[in-house]
Amino acid sequence: MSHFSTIKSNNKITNPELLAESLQELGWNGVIYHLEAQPMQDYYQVRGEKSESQSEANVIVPWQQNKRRCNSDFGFLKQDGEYVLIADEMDTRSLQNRIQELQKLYNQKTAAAMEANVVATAQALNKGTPIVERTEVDGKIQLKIAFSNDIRQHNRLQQQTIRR
Amino acid sequence: MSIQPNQPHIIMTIDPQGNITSEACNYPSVEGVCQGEQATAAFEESLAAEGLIPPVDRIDRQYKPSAASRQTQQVQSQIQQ
Repeated sequence: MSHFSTIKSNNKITNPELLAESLQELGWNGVIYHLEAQPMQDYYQVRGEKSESQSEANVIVPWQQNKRRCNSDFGFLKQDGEYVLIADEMDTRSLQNRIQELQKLYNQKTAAAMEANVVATAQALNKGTPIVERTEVDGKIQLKIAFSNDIRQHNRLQQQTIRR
Repeated sequence: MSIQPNQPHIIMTIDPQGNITSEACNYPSVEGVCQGEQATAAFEESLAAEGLIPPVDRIDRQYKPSAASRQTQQVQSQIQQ
């Protein structure tokens, strides 16, 4: 019996550290990740004017350090395990155009982090020495993992079956 | 030492878009529970803990027979014919 799981990210952003890294690599300055969402300032508030806007985000890109590229603070807020863009309407259109670029870089970082995580998990499990075979097929990384304990048990069962 | 096709093993496939699939092959069922699901659970939990995939209770799961059992089914259907 095989067990097959599809764990699609569907281009969702779920890791805030990788998100912050990606934003920084794309040239956004002063990006900060907050475990608890923090308030952001809209177009009027960053200019010292009053506004009733009360947006917040976990990963914030401050306008103060990115004045040439945005009109106010913007950020990403955690909702149902996914980080979604929160931006002032003055920035929404221009940022949506940049999201594809951000998503691509984030996906690359996610793929690398997934591989490292899988290998580390295999080594940390108390199931005997792991055997890890890595191949690349059509741009996809395939990791084949087996554990010596599982193989020994499998071989024992095979021998018992043969003896009957 | 290389992994033989008939030995229990897990295949994790990661595409450039950061999508990942996991497949557990040749794990036995114990008291009706597929051990393959148990085998991949640790990996799924670790990935979810790092925020690399959604929480494990939101993972889409599919079951399919192993290559060995598919071969057995094919032989049986040939015999019946």
